[in-house]
Amino acid sequence: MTKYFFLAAAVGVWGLGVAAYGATLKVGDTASDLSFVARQAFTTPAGKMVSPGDAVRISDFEGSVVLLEWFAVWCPFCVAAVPQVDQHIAKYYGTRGGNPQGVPAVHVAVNQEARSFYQTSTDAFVARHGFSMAVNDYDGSSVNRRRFKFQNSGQPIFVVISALTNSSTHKPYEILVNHLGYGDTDFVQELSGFRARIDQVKPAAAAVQPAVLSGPLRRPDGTFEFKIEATAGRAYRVETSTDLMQWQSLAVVQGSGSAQLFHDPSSSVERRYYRVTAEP
Amino acid sequence: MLSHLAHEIEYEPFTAFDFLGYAAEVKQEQWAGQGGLRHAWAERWTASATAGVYEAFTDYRSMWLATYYRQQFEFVPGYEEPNPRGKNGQASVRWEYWPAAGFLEARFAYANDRIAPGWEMDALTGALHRGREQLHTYAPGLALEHVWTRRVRTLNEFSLANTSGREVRYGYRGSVNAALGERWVLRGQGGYTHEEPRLRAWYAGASLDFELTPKWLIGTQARYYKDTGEIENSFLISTAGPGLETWQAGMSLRYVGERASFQFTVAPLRADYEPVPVGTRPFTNLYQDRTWILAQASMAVTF
Repeated sequence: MTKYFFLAAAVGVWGLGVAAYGATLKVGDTASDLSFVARQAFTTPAGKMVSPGDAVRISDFEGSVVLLEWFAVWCPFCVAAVPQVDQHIAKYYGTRGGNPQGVPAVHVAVNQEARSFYQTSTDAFVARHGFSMAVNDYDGSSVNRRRFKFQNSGQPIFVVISALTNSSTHKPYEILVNHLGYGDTDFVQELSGFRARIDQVKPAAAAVQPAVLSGPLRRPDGTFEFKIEATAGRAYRVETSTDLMQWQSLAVVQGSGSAQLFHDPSSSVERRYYRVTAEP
Repeated sequence: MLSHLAHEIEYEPFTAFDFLGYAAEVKQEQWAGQGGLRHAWAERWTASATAGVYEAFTDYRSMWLATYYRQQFEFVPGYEEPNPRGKNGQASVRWEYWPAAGFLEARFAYANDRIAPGWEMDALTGALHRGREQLHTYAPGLALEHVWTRRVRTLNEFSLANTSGREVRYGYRGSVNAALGERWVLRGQGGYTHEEPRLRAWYAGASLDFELTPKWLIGTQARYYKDTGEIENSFLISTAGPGLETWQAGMSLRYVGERASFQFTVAPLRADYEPVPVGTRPFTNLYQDRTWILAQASMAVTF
């Protein structure tokens, strides 16, 4: 029994190894059918307004990365984890407007304790820590349901899901993190690892608009200029031809989102065609 | 012998790991009784027996832990208030192999302690689990005292203690008394305790007494103690204390009359704990480094 204690204390997990419910979801799996019950009123980053008791689905967080943190108010490890998650995830991304790709990353506190005599203290817990989005992992018919998709037992549980359906880097509702427990490692370092995965999430590249050419003008010295309006941040290749059959590359320019002047100093020929195409 | 003990602690939860706890003043009074018999059935053989009972907590640590569990679970169905109490007894046989100058004593002690159990929530079912509540301790021991010279005497004690749910604890204590002169007495003590898998504890101390007059003595003491931490328990949130190191030094004044004696001692104690592991973090405030001021007054009357 003593060995059991050392293992468990090192992991810092309440109730580790109690019972197995079967296979759980892993990092890289998808979790598109998650739903909870709102504990308080809030608006998701996708703009959905929920009231207490409403169903909250992971799809309601479309366009964001979501950190789900399961807690019970009587679990000391959960109590200890909350301020660190707040500082290193919620506030971290809140002050930066999301990850480096501009994807919002939000924290959702998931209460797993359903018994009535714990609800007052759970409300106080939510209020003290200023959770902006708190949900319950139970409804009227069952308790503690969703967390068993990720871990067989124990808490706190931390799950990060990319709720982007158009990401260029991750599948819709792909699980980025599935972590059980507090204290097995330096938890701040653990949260740094969470952030590294959150920061990798990129939205799908914006659709590339065809370049628009305008303002053709032959200068007095015989050279030629025109304007190119192209998608900002994308590279475009400028080519020229005299017969529309053979094309010769002139330059690669970066789109700016507005018309920019392009000058061809070699265009002293009488007739020449130009085309501008987006680089792959 | 009847004894009375009053405790009063200012309980402060470690809020970083404890949301449900709250500050409280906790008071307790304890009564204990002890009695003994001795019978010399042969010229060099003496048998003795003692027995005792007590109720309520025996130390502030138990009170602190019970307060923690009460605040965590008092509103949870299944929780019960602790009702600590205990009884103990010891029998011994002494053989004076050298009358008034040496003896060998065999002892056997038994203690039955009903302690305040730990409580823990099952994360899967939500059921409240109660920890061990009854402890039985069986402790045989052997003591050997020998007077080596007119001025030097030693006492060596060996003991085993087998307590419910734990490995056997082995202990040794040794002391030496040396009369340095007609009015000076030096006492030295040391001890070692070993329990698998990881408890090791040892201490050493010395005291020096000076006889001011035939009835008044003044003394000074110092003691050092170190252990590797308690071994406990079956819960994930463990109450086991981390490694502890203490230093104590003090002064005492003693009066020894024909029918009455008393002693007054002041002995500050410094206690330094190792950092608590994460599984013990809710008890951080219990295992804080502290400096104690210990003052003790005792009196005995013969009638």
